[in-house]
Amino acid sequence: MKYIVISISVAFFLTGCDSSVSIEDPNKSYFVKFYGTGGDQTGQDFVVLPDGNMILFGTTRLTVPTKGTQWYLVKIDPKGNVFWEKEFGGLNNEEARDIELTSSNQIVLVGNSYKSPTDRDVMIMTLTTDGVKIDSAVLPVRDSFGAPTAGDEDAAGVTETNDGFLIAGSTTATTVYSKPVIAGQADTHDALKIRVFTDLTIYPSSWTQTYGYYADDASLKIYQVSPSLFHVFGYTNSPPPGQSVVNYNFWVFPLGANGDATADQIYPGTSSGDEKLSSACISPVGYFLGGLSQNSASSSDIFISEIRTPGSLGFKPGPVTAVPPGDIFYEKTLSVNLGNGLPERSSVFPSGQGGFYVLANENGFDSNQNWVLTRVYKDGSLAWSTPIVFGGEGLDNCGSIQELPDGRLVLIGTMRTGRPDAGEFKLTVVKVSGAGKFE
Amino acid sequence: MVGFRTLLASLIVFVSTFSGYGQTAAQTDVDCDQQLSHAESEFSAGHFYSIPSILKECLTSSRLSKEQLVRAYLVLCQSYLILDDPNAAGDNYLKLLRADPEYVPNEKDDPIDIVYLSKQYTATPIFTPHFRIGLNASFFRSIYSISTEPYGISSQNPLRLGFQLGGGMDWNINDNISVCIEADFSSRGYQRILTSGVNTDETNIQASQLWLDVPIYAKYSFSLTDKIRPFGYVGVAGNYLLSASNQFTYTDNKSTGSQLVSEGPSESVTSQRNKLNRSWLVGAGIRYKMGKNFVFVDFRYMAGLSNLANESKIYYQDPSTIDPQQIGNPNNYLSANVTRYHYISDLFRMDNLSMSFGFVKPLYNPRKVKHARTKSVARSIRKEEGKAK
Repeated sequence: MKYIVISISVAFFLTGCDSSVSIEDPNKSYFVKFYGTGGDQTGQDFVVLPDGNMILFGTTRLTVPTKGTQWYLVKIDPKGNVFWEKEFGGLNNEEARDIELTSSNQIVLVGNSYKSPTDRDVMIMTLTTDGVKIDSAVLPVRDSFGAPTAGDEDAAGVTETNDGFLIAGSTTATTVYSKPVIAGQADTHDALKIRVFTDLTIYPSSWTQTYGYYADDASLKIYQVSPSLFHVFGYTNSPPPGQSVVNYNFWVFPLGANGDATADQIYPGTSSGDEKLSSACISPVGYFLGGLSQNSASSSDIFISEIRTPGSLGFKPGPVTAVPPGDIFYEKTLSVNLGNGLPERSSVFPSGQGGFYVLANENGFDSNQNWVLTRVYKDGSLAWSTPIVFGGEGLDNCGSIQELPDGRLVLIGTMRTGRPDAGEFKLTVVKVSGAGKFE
Repeated sequence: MVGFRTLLASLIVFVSTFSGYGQTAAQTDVDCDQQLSHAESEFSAGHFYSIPSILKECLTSSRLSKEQLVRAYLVLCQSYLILDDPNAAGDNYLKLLRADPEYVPNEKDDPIDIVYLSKQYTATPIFTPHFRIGLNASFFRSIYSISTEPYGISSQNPLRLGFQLGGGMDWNINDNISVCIEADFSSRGYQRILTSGVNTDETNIQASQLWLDVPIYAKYSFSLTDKIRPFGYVGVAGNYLLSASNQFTYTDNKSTGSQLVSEGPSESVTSQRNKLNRSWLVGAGIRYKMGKNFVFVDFRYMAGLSNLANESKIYYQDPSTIDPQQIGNPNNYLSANVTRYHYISDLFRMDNLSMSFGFVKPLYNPRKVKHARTKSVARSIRKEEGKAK
């Protein structure tokens, strides 16, 4: 009898009571948080500060708006708790696009401000990491005389340079950069490469703000390689050399000291489908690019390419293994059936385990749009046999992804919460393990 | 006319037969009572040898009441003890205990030799089965609050009633101490109302669970009166979660005063739960004697030791509900509860307070004890003998 009692007691006390002493707080490792107190909030991008805190960037629109859609900035700790949240903007609607942490530990935001329903100008703002505004500017594309144009600008990304910032995007002001007319084609957009100083004043007009073919062109991100060399990543539907079929391809080209593009450009993509670049990151050998591939007969797929940083000013087309070698390591679709009619949005980030994470949207089942995350090895092959889907029953839009120093992943985007047909949109942050799981 | 005479005769015979039977039965009772009194007077007169034969017929007739049987066997026990036949005395004491398993001689009133004899025998049940049914309320004990709200939440936990039924077996170590094991089925539940820290958006969760509990505990009981026996116990329990479901309501309270309510049918969250739980328990109650059996009321507090939330599953939809046509790993689909109701389960334990009513059927087992506790009685006998001298 006493042995039974003793045995049972020992077994129970050995295993003990599950408590905060015996279990680690899961909120430190993984969570899903919805940000925004009322109305709709969207999530676009974020930065991780050196102390591990994060600043989230998106938009907010109150249930009963007294202003237009505003920029929405939230500072959170590594467990997702809010330090502060702020709104920036005017009476018109604003769009959020990109946030970066500068080398001087400041924040730079870029997006668009609507002057009218069909006319957006680029808006840029610098802030301290406490959310105190330093400078801001609204930047319409200017013509060769320095006068503002009526073009509709859509900023996509901002990059810190040695003396300020470079803004990528697109504009309908396609006459600023002169180019030969191509019969039968439409010159709808040119790529943006607006350069400003640190105080956000515009660069002299010697730096041309746009560039493109007689086509639909856009830049998504620009990296400064040296004071006189920049690499631009975007897409164009101008047929690459050797092709006559108009279709979209990734588009990579260099800029010189005065912002002029050189002729050595490459166009990762297929001749049969439309590949639109929507994200780029620096890889061990050069750059890793991500976007969507779509053709009229099938659903969207993730399209990736890794390219080599050229030794010379320009990029050389063709695969690295060819003779003479080009700069494209690989270009491929991932055979992930994403669905149809998806927004041109993806995010890529190098993985500490090797390879890259790719975040995109999917609506392959039941037209319910969710985020989809996968990882590829450094050769571009899929590291995960099946991607991981994040989202609910409503419309969800991915923003961006980053891997933290501890190997965990943080994803930002927008999810519809509450009732799937009428609930509010919320800026959503998901923190998961390097395997994309809540563990 | 002949027929009427025959019928009348039959009726007289019938009536006289039954009235005669009644007279015979009454006569027998009266006789046995007389025989019992006769035996007791013979005992008082010191005529011990005749007592067994006086009582033999009545004891075999099986018409004696429990009290008469006790009297009869007591006289026999005393007689055999005086006749120096302890085996026969013991046999008759066992028969007495079979007639009244709860019989305990009174040291003040009963002869000391009977008290001494009684210490060598017991009818205490080795095993005592019981059955119970009752109501319970559960208490949600959060280990870590997990929420989609980054602004903090406040929570209210109104009580929800459940029920339980089951049965168990007491292994009686002695008259006071027993070890008990039970198998109980219970329905438990809790309610949580989670309110956002910055607005009044509210998630209401009504949780329902079905459990199979196997408590093992040590019980101490004692007699307060002839009828009332309080008891108390402490022990541990293994609990197996059979199913868990939640009924959710999410209310988005707009700044305009309007509400947008999201609700749906009760949803299984069994996949998000750890099915095995450990508990410790403490309880007390009162047994009330009814004949040879008991009814009881029992209050029990069972404190869960295990985290009931499966940490690796609380964010995920049950994979069996994912359509195979959907892309992505079915084991890693975000639960619809996360977005639709702003709900992710806390890591939590669950305590349970129950009140049960039950029935105890003691399985009496009159027997000779291996180690009789007769020292104190022997001392009393010696003391009495000393006084007599």
